[in-house]
Amino acid sequence: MNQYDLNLILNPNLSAEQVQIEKDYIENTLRGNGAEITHLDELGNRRLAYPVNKDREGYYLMYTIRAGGNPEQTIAAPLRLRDNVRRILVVKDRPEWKTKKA
Amino acid sequence: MTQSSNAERKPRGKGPKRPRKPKVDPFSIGELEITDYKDVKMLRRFISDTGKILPRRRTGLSAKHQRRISQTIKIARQLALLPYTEKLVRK
Repeated sequence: MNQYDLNLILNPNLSAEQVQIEKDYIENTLRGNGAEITHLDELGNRRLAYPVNKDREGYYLMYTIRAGGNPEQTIAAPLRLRDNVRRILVVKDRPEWKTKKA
Repeated sequence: MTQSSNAERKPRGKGPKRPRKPKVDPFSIGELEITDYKDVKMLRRFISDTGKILPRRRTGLSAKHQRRISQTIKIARQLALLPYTEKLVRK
């Protein structure tokens, strides 16, 4: 089991219920693959540095998960098929790179 | 042509060259977190106005931290937190 960050950019024009549907689907996919969610950072609509699908804004969801296997294949690939998911990035936690002193 | 323009170029500054004060690597003293790709304000220090990653002679980072900050910047670019390129605004 490794720690990963699962970052998603959703369509910014979704209603609150549609966002909830997407979140439920994401969390079901995570649980279905044996991953556990340790933290969720929901930034909401934020301005992007460059347009993605012709929108200057995006709805950010940043999950911190613990997962085994290859989460890029098991988790990110099925989520990419969703119409409202604009971008997904899985970033592996690198504790050996950390520089900040506590 | 290029040689003559080189010969005409004025020498920089007057008097003896003063050694430049070395820049401090903020990661080696544990001030900043190098893997934090969400910290846009921190990463902006290491890119130019046009969005390029600055060279080591400008950032003053160690070779190890320069390699790692470039990876962190590239992650932030994929998440549209930082631009790949930005138009230069002339004043």
